Amino acid sequence: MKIDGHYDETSDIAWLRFEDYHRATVVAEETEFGLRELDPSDKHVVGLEYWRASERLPGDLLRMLPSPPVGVAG
Amino acid sequence: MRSSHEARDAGRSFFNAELWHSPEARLLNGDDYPPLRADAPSESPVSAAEHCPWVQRQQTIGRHRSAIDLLVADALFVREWLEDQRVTTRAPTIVVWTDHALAKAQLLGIGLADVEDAVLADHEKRTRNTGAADWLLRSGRLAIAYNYPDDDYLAARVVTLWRQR
Repeated sequence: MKIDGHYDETSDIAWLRFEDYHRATVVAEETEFGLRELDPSDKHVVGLEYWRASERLPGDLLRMLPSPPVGVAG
Repeated sequence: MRSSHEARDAGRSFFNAELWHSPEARLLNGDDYPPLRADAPSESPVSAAEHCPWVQRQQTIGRHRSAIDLLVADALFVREWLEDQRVTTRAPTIVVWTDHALAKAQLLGIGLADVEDAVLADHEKRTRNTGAADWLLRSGRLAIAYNYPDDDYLAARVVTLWRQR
């Protein structure tokens, strides 16, 4: 499975996007950890956004994630 | 323990009814402490106990404590009011972005100007505490989480955003 995403250390938010992530149609719902992003056609999860990520995700994972690309979509 | 509002109301009633026109007001104005007198004249019949210096002193102390309660309660009330005013009346005039929010808006094809316009125009419609930031604004299908950067009430920093179901 291909996973994209980034970790913004300043806002402490990690964003993970999985296969089938369609940027034009994706919708999100709030959860206890942040956001669950869904494909509206069948409601399967295509992305996760973690708020206060440093408290919820392993540091090894956060260090693997790139910083948000500024000025370039990605 | 009384709330600040209860203490304020109680203190204000006492203040308006009695203290303002009483000798104790001299103390609040920096005058000398009123002397205690066992034979203090009275215009109305009073019990003998009310001429007792100790009783008079206790009454005086009680009145002063009420006055202090009033002043403290009023100070708390004013502080709360100012805090409410600061939160409700000051609206941001500029919008800044976290790297995450900027990258996400660009990826999702959400217009930055649309987000900024919504925050500046609909700041009064925000709700508190989303977990990601201090404020949450829902504008159509768009949800925007933002806060005040470094307690700068004239700026809004977009922390994250998403399309709602």
